[in-house]
Amino acid sequence: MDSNEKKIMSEKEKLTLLEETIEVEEGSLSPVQDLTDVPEYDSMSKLSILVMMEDEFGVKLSGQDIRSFKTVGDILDRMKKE
Amino acid sequence: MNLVFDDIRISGIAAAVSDNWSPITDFVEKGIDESTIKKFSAKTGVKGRYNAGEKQTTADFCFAAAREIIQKYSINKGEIGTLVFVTQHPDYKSPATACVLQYRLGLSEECLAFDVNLGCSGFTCGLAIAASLLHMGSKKYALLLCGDTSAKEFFVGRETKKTNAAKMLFGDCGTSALLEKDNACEKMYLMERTCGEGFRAIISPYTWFRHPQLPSDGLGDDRMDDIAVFNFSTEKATELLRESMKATGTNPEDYDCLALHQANHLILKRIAKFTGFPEDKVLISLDEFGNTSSASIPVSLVKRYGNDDLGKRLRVLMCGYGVGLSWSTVDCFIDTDKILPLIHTDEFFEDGY
Repeated sequence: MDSNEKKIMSEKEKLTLLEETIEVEEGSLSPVQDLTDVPEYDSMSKLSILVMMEDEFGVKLSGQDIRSFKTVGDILDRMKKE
Repeated sequence: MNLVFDDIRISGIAAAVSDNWSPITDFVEKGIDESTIKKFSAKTGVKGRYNAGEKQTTADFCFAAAREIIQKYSINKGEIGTLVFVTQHPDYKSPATACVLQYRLGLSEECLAFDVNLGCSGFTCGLAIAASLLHMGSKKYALLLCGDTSAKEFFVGRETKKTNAAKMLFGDCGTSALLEKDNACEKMYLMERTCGEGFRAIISPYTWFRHPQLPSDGLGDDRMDDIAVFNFSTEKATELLRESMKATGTNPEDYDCLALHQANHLILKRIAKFTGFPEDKVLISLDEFGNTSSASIPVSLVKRYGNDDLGKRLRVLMCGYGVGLSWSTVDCFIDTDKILPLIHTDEFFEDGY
């Protein structure tokens, strides 16, 4: 394993990080949840996700990437080093 | 384009606002829920803003700021040969508001006056324009007036803002900077950039000549791709600030402050982090004034130094970035005693129409 490689997060850890990022209660999100059912998923939360993805995973998301997210799981899938 | 001047200095900065400051929490009365407001305020850094009076325009604030500089420093108006007014909210379709301001300020006929349609990069781009004309011309001074009344929510009776962010982010302000020609100046370095390919990222495309009709899509007049703007701002401003410091052989320790366009606090923190500036060197005016477009850099200087009697010569690194897409940096020296306290005014121009 490359020593620089970040520890791979479990799905539970990713979910917790996402909940912290968009400031919702721990345990309130699930991967199958439609993002239109998450009222906290607003324009400010999208910017917070952008920052989190870059800082934690080195992933730069575009507007197109963000628009393609339909479920919580779609975001979790991108939460890994590319 | 990059520019260097060794005969131009900024010898006056002033900013004017109304007396009507409102906290961001007032949006509860306009139907935005408290938690949304709190979250928005925490992320953007906006705590409130000054609201222009119903009849007040950007020109009224810029006029008050310019008049204060002229009076305070007893400037010979006959020596002001350039007046550049940077705004997205001019008084009229025609003539250029700059011409009206030349008249209101009582400047000589030997003056070139025109408007420039730029927003958040307007102050740093405007410095390049005003400094170039001053450098080439026969007069001693140039006036750069920058501002917008972006917080106004109604235009010809129609509500123009549809998103909560658009309603809560902006503030109304007008500023003035006096540029002076003097052979004994420190160098002023400027870098100007444009990427018109990104013009759709921040745009008000309707009710003008290309698209006279506002469509009924409910999205309002002003359109912004938040993500594209966030990525543009953090990448391009960082890149150009680094390029400027490389060209001048400087690093953050060489500057007294970093004066960034006040887009939102999240963006300011990213730029500071990526360029190596400690956060205490980053000027903040967003909290009190909101995002004031091209007025944001001068009003940040006014907020930080306008009431100081330090008698200090500051080295300032500035970066404006936004609508266009357009971005630019300025590295220059400003004396704190040339930065005036904030002006409050409820004046407006009775033009007879």
